[in-house]
Amino acid sequence: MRASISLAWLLLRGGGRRDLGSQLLAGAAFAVSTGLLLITFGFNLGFAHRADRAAWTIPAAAHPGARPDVIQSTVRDYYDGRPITVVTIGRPAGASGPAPVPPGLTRFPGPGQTWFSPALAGLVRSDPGALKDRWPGTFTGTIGARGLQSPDQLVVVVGAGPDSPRLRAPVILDQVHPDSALGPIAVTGFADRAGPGTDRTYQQLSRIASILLIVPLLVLAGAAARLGLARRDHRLATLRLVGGSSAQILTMVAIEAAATAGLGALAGTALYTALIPVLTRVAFGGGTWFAADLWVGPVTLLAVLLGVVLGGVGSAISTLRRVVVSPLGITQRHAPTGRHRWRVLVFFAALGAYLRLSHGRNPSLTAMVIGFGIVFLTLNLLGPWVMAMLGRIMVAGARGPARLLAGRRILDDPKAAWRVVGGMALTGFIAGFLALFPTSAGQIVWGSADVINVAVPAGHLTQDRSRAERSLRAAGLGQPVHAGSDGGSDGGALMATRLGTGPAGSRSTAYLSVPVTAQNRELTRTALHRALPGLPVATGADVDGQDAQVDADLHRASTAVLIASFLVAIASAGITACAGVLDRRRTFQLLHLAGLPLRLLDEARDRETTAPLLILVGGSLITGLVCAAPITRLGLGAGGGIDLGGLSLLALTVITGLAGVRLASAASRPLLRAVATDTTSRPD
Amino acid sequence: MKPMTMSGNPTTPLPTTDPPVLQGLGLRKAFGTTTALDGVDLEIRAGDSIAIMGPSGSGKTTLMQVLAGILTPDSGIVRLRGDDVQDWSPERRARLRRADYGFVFQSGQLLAELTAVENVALPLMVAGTARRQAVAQARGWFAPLGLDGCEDQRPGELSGGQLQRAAIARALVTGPSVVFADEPTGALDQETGHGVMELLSRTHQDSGAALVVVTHDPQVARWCRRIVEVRDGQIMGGAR
Repeated sequence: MRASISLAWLLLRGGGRRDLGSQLLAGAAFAVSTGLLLITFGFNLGFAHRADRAAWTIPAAAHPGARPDVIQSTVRDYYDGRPITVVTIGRPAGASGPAPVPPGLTRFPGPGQTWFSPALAGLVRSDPGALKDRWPGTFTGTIGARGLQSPDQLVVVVGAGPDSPRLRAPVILDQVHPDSALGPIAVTGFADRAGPGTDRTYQQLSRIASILLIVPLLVLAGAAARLGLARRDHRLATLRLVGGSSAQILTMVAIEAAATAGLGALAGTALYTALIPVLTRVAFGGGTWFAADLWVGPVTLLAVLLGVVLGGVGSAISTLRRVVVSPLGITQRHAPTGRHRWRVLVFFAALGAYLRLSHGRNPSLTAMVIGFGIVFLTLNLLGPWVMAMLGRIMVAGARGPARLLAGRRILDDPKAAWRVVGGMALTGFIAGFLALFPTSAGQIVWGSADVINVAVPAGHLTQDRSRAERSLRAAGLGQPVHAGSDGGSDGGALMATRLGTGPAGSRSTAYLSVPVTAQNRELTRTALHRALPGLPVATGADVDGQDAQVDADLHRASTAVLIASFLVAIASAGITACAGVLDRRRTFQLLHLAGLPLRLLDEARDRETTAPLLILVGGSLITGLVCAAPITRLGLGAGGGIDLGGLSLLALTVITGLAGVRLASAASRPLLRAVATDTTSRPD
Repeated sequence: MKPMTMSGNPTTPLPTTDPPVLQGLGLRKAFGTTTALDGVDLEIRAGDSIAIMGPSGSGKTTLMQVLAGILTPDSGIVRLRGDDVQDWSPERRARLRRADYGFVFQSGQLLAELTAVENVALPLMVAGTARRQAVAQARGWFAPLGLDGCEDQRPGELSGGQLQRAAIARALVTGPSVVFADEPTGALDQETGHGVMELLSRTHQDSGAALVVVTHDPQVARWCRRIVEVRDGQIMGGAR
């Protein structure tokens, strides 16, 4: 073992500039793979951390039999379109024992005390006229990071007595976004609660993004591990000649691959760590991030590092297992074995199971994500089989040498051919999948910012209207207050429809509406809050903003995933093309010496890429569309229809994909020429 | 070109009045401070065979590569059927190698993904012959070379001797003027090497092609009409 290690190190060190270049390229690929994997895992875990920290703001009714020790109401307020979480808490009458302390606060707030998140405290300082009097009481303290979803989250905790109108307001339930308006509800403590639904949704979506990126990254790492194949074959032959055993060779290859993958993975970890401060500024789900959110932690980090190193070693060893080299260095390659049909069966079984699962009555998003991941992985299994079929067709129809060579090369090693186009085919799947998600980010669908609406219990409509008018006059505003009930099509009616008061599901809500301008909107909102404490006050645009936020986030995330997978796929294609040239260096040299034109080899390599790329990207696109349809049906996207933006994305994917892979393949042409025309060494 | 029958005899005298098919005149080539060829003169006639021998580093492979148009000489002339080809562009020299020369390397160097018959047909297809016709023409070479039944096998399934026979067929299928063989038996055992050289010797004579063999093995060299010995970039010996 020790001898193998020192021999591996000796050969690695003495490999020269070209060997070093290969190793650096492979190491860079491992670094990029590791860095991107850690970033996707970081966001995945970040959403979970966020959900855990925000859970306390969502009141969960005390279990039957448990003694409630807090009354909590959480209402969403707004400032200039930004949501503010308003948590009102108080002790129930006759409560005994110590009060539970909300996360991020140092004590339970007494009546008349308000605690602001740092971002909200800053906002109040910057616009005191509009915000100073919106919440009753005196500013007592700042909410710590432990109680905040994100550093820029706007939260106010209002302490109230049991008789406060805020805690005696009717129970309000938002039919569309249950987290937006909840309470007042008697609760027991602040622990053991589920996080906001939106965070859970984001977490699932980030899992999908991780799955979409993991496979192309594995393809990239696999391509990197094969970069030095020809050199390893030669080394194996030489070492066998001098009596080296297979175990020694395997150990050496494993050590070398582990060193390259390990150093690459460490560089990727450094890249990921260095990027965390930048990534924390990327707003997702309505807020930026704490650095600790995006840090994957030692266990995940070690698991990823170990996975990358083992993957690199496994990939390098598998190349030795496939290519048996005689002591004289003649590569013994036999007729390709048939590609097993079980690959097709497994793919269609996975797709069928996924579609069946997703078309059930109440499909679980988690189960669908797992099913989707399995379909994506089996696509990677199906790819080589499709490539072998294509190779067979190309060989059968070949009239010229380029097509014959291309077809034979595909047929000879469909897995290698799949590695060139596989990344892009998987990107096609991603584009198909994302095409059903909305691209109309940020557009207001039905909300208007010119009218503020207040959802009120239908029975209190007249008196609430009078209180609102009095408060507006006292604030020096004096706009008219209109009253209405649900069933209309304007913002107020829609808001009243989605907000129910009283028992869950009831529709006994009316609404008041007040016209506003950009100048008096926040002042009006504050006056209405003071008149009608604890009731939802919002413009249609405010309410719509949450959906617009999800749309915008989906759009940005889709674009980021697509761009990342594109770059990874193009890098894979480029590395695989270069590895192919280096692996067959000697053959290319001698064919060139014998007068075989290099353009024929170029043409064959182009054909080897283009036809499979077109067919596989098309097939993957359709599979992606099929897989996305059930998820968008759950309301997470455009509702199963392809809009113009989606179609543009598809078209752009196909064009960019083809151009990218062709470009990556063309980038290896100078290498082919350099290798083939190198006559400084003996051909044999 | 059609495959020939096995009737060659290395001792048949050649008419010396025929003009040489390939000539090297005053060839010089240096790599940095190392002189590989130092004023070499050599001529080869159609149907002639010549073995270039010499120890490692003597310049024998450089001489073959200069004659074959793979390397350009620093000075001197390479003349093929009266045309000076040493200053031709790399592309034109590549065409020349494709059309007028055949090559047999140490380990066959067939394309692993093609079948044996497709490998032999490859030069014809590159020259523009349709695949069906090229393969049919290539098949004709298999029986005379003792490769019957190997047509659809892949290089990995052939023995070392079979690989070299297929390489000989590939070198001769286009009807070249000169066949260059660089250590053609270097990867074979003595008996197989003997068979390959016998075959190479006969087929080049039957096709009328000149044969240039680079070797360090006297057993291989004895299959050629002439042996030249290269030392320090100069020819030491003459015709046998």
